[in-house]
Amino acid sequence: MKSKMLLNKVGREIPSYIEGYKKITLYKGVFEGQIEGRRYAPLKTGSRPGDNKLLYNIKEAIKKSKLKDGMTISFHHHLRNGDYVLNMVMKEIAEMGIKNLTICASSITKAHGPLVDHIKNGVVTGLETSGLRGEIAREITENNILRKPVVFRSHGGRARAIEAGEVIIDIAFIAAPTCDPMGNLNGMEGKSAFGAIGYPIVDVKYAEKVVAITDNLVSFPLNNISISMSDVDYVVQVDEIGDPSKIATGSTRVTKNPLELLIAEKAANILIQSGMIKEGFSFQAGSGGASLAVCKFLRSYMEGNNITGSFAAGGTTAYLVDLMKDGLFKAILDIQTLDSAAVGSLLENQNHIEISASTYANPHNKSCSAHQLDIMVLSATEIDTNFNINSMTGSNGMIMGAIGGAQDTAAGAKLTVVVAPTMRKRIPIIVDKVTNIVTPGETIDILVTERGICINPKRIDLIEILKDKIDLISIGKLKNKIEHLTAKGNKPDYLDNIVGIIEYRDGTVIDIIKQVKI
Amino acid sequence: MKKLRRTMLFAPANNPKLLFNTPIYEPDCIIFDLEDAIKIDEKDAARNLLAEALKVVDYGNCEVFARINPLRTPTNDKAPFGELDVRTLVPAGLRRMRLPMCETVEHIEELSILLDELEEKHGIEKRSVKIQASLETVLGVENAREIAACSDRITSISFGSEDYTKSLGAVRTKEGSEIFFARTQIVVAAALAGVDAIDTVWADLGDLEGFKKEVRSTINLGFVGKSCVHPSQVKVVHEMMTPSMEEVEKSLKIVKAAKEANIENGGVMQIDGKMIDIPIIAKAQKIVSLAKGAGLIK
Amino acid sequence: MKGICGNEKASDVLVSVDLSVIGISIEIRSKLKKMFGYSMEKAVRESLDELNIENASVIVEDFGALDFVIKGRTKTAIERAIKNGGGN
Repeated sequence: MKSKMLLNKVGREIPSYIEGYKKITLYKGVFEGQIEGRRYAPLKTGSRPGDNKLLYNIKEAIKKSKLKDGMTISFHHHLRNGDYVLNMVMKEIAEMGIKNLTICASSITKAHGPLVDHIKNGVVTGLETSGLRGEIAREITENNILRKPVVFRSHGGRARAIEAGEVIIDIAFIAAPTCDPMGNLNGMEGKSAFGAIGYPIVDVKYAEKVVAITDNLVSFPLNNISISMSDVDYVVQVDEIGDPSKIATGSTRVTKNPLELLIAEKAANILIQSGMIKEGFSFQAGSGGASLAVCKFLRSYMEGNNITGSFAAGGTTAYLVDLMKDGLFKAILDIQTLDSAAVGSLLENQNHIEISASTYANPHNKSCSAHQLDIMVLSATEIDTNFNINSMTGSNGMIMGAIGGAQDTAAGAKLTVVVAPTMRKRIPIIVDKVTNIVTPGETIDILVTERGICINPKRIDLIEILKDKIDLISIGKLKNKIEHLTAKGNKPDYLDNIVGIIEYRDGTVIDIIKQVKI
Repeated sequence: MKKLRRTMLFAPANNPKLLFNTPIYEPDCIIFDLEDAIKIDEKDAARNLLAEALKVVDYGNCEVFARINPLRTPTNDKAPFGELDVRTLVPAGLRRMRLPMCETVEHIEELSILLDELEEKHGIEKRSVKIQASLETVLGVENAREIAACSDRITSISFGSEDYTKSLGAVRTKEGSEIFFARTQIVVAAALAGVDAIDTVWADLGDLEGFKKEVRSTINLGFVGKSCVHPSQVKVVHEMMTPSMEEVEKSLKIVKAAKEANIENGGVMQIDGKMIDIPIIAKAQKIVSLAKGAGLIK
Repeated sequence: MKGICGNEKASDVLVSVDLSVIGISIEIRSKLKKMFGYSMEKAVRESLDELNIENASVIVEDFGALDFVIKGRTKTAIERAIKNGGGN
């Protein structure tokens, strides 16, 4: 089928047809487009008294689930860099000679290196994820080893696609830190506990078969149930589902880097000056560098002015938990618990609430927490003069990041602030056009850097409130100032192959990633 | 408005990152060090690096100084690096320099003559390159009065306590009574000459309380500013030197009234039953200036 | 004839200059060569011009330095090469 090049609303060229991908709809705006049709539903199943779900090993689970060539399987990444499950399952699948599978993962981490060989050997021929890093990212971007574009979705976008049946999961493999023999499971107890298990809560409702893999089998009934046995087909017990030292990374420390602290302080200050830090406000921040440090500066202001927030959401860190414990936020909505120090709070504190990825960020349900946010603080690898953000590829075109929940929270929050340094090494962060667009500029309000603060010209209301209180600079001017020092970087050379499709949260295509010529 | 010099943030001139990142912390002055922070075999590298930085980096509102190497050794021979520092950096854009180990008026005169030559040669406005004399020895502190007043190129004098206490045979303590006399001497000399007095560094970054105590005494003694070794110190000094809104409002009143009564240059007036004379007006002007510098008022 | 200046540290460069050659040759070794190689080379050429050097082989090992750093280090390496007994 002949394909022509079309232009979407953010000015990116998208082919009208991509082999192996659904019908393409172009990004046309944050909340544009009709929502039609019914949610997908898997086949009915039944159960009988005396059913035994506990199987001997993963191989048996794969057999019983009737995995065949060409199917789609899913995994979650709550175990982060300490995950063993995806590799264990894929090893068995490869040994069984099954091929052409599509993996729909909430994300792929550094723990998933062996996937490179599975891809090269044809076991995996399709990949859908929030992000890619490390060797897989390099091999795909440089060598196109998958030979089919990776589909990148935000957390909300993945939930939407699963619920809509755009991706149909044949088998969902759920790494479960604690599970009973009938499949009731949670993520917050056991030696491999990671906290909230928000991503697969969606998978289990829509997958044909669900396999729970646990290293902590407890007796029936589990009393703290995040995923119910009514959605689980089989349970497998293994020695270890992951490496606790890499799952449980203690507490993310607030940075001591003076540059990041400076950016964070400026960001906190502008949030305060905007008038949005007031009784009952809601807040979410990314976990990197300057983002978490913003919390530290907001804390002093909130304490000094007796302000209690309604909820904080995350990406939950121990720092956020402390804010709640100290009465500064009434509740935490948790899709993913980043610090082991925060896991205990989930168990102890009624107001530390686990939510699914759909409740967190799916734009096609009856409401999500991202749409209740007052403030979102994000970071970026690049931002352009239209405030479009890249968090997926580097300025050299290489895939090295993820969408995460950025599209969702930026669209939902009343005020979205990007914190970033003006350059990393000598690579400028502010560019004419970002290498790839992940989050559209119309959802980004303010950029805070160490050398200047820029407000999106569309936010006339914000400019009016802030122009007399804060020194502002136009993003174009700031870009030029930095380029004066760094020089303009050459753009990457590309080949024709498309290695990635970046979906917006509503399923439209916001950008494509091409193979990089080395 | 008189240029504020509340903080002079040190950065070694041989550190690429600091050459373009130091202005981010918004000290009133930056002082790139070519002297003590740079090893002998790297003096040339530091000098050239700073020269290139001065040509392209935008330092915003920060006043950029370089602590050049001395022109004379303690035995009054020609020192190896100072002259080359000046000859390289002034054409590159340097307009403020701290001359270390300043002991006599002759030291200043020698530098001033060199600057005359360079201003002439490179079409730079005459006398626009200014000097901050760093007094770090017994003799230097003793000659403070003469040195501060000897040239229109002198905009400030600074005190260096480490070398001073060494040359005195005293012990440098946090409490500082051994340097009290020298510090006061410098403030007096600066006041008589109508230039700024800059206080010595506090090196112990781990002791915030001790630092704050010393800054309190820096302010009380009458120093205009303090040399700093870390961005976190800049913040502390600026906060401590920022007047309260109450003080600011009072001072604005006084300054306004003085302007209207036209007694800025002599006389006495009354505000709210209190006698206001020139020293009080001068203090009020200083407070208004600090308030503007701290961004309290525009 | 030979001079070196710089450090193998982030945001710095290590520049090696040999003045005993004929003509100008510039080699840039950098992870960012594709993106900024053209600008790095320009900085070296300007440094050579500004010091009136017509014969030199320059090797730049870059660790993410801005152009002014390349210039500063190149000029110092040249001056050291001259001092070490090279000439033009």
